[in-house]
Amino acid sequence: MSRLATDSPSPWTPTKGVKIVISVLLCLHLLAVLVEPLQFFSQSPRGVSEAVSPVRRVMAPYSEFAYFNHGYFFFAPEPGPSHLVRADLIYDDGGSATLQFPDKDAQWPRLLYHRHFMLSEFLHILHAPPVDPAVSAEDPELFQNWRRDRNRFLRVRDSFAAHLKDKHQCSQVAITRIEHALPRHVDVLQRGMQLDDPALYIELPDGPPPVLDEQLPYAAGTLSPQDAGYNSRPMNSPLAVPGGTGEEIQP
Amino acid sequence: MSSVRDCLDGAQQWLKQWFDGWDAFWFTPTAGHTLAVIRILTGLMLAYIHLIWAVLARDFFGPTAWVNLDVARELHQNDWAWSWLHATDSVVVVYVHQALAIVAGLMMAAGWFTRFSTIAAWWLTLMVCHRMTGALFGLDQMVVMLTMYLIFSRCGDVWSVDARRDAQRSGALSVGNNIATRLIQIHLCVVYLFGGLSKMRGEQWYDGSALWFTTVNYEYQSLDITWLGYSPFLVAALTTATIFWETFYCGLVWPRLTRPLALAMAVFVHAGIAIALGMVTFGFIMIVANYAFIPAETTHRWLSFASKE
Repeated sequence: MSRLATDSPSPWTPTKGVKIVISVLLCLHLLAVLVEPLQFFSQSPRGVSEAVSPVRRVMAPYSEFAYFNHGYFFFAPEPGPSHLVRADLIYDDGGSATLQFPDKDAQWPRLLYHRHFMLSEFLHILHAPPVDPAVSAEDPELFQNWRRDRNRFLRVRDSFAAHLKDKHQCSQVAITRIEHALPRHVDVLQRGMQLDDPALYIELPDGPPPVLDEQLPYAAGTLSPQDAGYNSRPMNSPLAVPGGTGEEIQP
Repeated sequence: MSSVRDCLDGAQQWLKQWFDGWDAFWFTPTAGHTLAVIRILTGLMLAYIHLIWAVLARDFFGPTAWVNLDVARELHQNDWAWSWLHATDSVVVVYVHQALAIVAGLMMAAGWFTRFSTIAAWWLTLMVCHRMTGALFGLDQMVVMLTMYLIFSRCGDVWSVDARRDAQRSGALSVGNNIATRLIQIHLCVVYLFGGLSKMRGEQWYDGSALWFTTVNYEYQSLDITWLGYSPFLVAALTTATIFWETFYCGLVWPRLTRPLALAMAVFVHAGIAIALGMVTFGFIMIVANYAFIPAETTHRWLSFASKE
């Protein structure tokens, strides 16, 4: 770094011992900074690298409190589709209304809009389909994790619903996740498709996705957790690693 | 015997050079002009962020918040993201909290009781971040990072109310300035490195289509640049340039020869994100973070009219 010549008094210079102490602290800090994204990067369906997990565990109290627990997966691994939330409201008098957020028209300025956008993405990231009871016999640990994740999703979804119920003074709220698919080059530039074309909005089911004929059953009478839309360690999901909060993939 | 001694001398020499390099890298006292610019812009950004949170207080912190208090506590029951805002969902308390945070951000920007105001701004922002899980994004990560490192500096010695009150302090060199600058620089390198590496897990960054799919994301879009698609070559070239720049930023930004290119690309990418993808705040704060690579003397020269005043 450059220096500036000034008339100010000589700066304080740490002694050798102080420099050693500061250097050790700096190394520990930088280890915490590095190990967090490394944890996200080193995960696979089999888990997180054994070289990273123990270090991360030691650093967790510091990095989580200092809010360094990020993956920095900005627009990665792909700039995927957006996820919105649709709320169908039913009032005491029988009337109904539908809201969808984020909403560029209703939420301004942009930072306020973006907070709502992140909420809808958060709900999508948390989603775990209803637990298949048959899995409990096959894999009790998987069953427990699945049930935990499902309960977490439901708690957040119900919190969203309670918020809307209170805000709009209605008697019932049904929350649906919507995926806004990204149109292809040819759709927009040659066929003139608008980016907010209704055909691009896909309602995401809460339960398992449709099963194709050629898919093999996981066990007699059951689907694999993946087929049911659940993966206890989904690739690239921030929630797949300890300390993940779901905000690591959004810029 | 002599060859062994030569080896040992060589190793000793190498180690000495290494330690001297480490010492110069971290402990060379520097001026605070660059950090003062970062302090002013980050402080203003913090004030704006907390102003928006204040507007959203009822919806995001109140008894029936989007993520209510019980759920927020559950989300953090197994981690260390403690916040005193986990203790209450009183909107009045949040208004007071946010008013203090806005004042702290503005004081930090003005350089008024800078040591205290920077710590206060960092702490109050951290408390909000731990409470607001689910509504955060890169902007929050960057402002917390920048504010935390500024705490260790004497960024209030330049272009500040503190400097006006004590002319002796203005422009003083400090080891803390250098350590804070280095931490911001290295942290930024880590951010870009993993931003680049993570993109390598996808296919669209390889086949050159990622930029197209970014521009057609309606929820992000604030400026229609889909016309870029008429030149598939340009879209693919920009996509490839982005992933190469991001991944190798940590190497390109240090040598004098390539630093201007790495920083110019950073401004280009983040200005693009700000203008076309509607993330003005995030794009802006990333450019502010990149400013840490501008030497203090350059900042001083550029903004000398301000220092003369």
